[in-house]
Amino acid sequence: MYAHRAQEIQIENLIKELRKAEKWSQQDLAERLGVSRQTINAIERQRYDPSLELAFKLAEVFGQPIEALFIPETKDDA
Amino acid sequence: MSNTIPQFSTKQYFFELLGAFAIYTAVLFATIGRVGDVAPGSTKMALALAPVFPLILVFLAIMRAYKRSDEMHKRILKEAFAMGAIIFGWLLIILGFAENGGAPKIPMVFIAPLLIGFWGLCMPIVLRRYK
Repeated sequence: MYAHRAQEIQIENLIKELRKAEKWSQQDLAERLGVSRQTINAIERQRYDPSLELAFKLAEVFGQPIEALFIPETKDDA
Repeated sequence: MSNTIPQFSTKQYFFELLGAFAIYTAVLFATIGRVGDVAPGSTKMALALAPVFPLILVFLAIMRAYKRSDEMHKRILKEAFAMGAIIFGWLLIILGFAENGGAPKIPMVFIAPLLIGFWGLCMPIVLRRYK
């Protein structure tokens, strides 16, 4: 038996909350990041995890450390 | 910030691809029947290769769509291609075995356009996961 079970890490994000706090539309945020509105929508709906580069850009536009935007949630597959 | 927004549009991609395929199909059907009637030589070869040139428009449409895409859309395009290639690959294997049973052969010239077609068909399926 393996000592460690494979654990799935699901990354939740607070992009929608932070965007709304700034009173930006999805389009506003998309323009700041140079991506499409659909990509912002998919990130907010937790359907798409952004690349490391885009994650750092998000942290930069919100003026927050990256760990304030993304919360890793470990899911035990037991 | 002065980033430019990628202008990917599924509709634009679809119509560009459809237009390119329409030209390719027109050239293909205009030349394919005549190749057999022409004596071997440079004219025959030019007629045989004529559909290759409009096929460049198909590849350009795909490359333009890819270039206009942001990182998520690039991923969608890649996933759709993988899905299309797997489905089409399986169909080719089935058809390959069916040939032994008497099924007609698919001309090689249709392989690449069919692969691209399967790629396009898989796009909406993959897109749904990101909506």
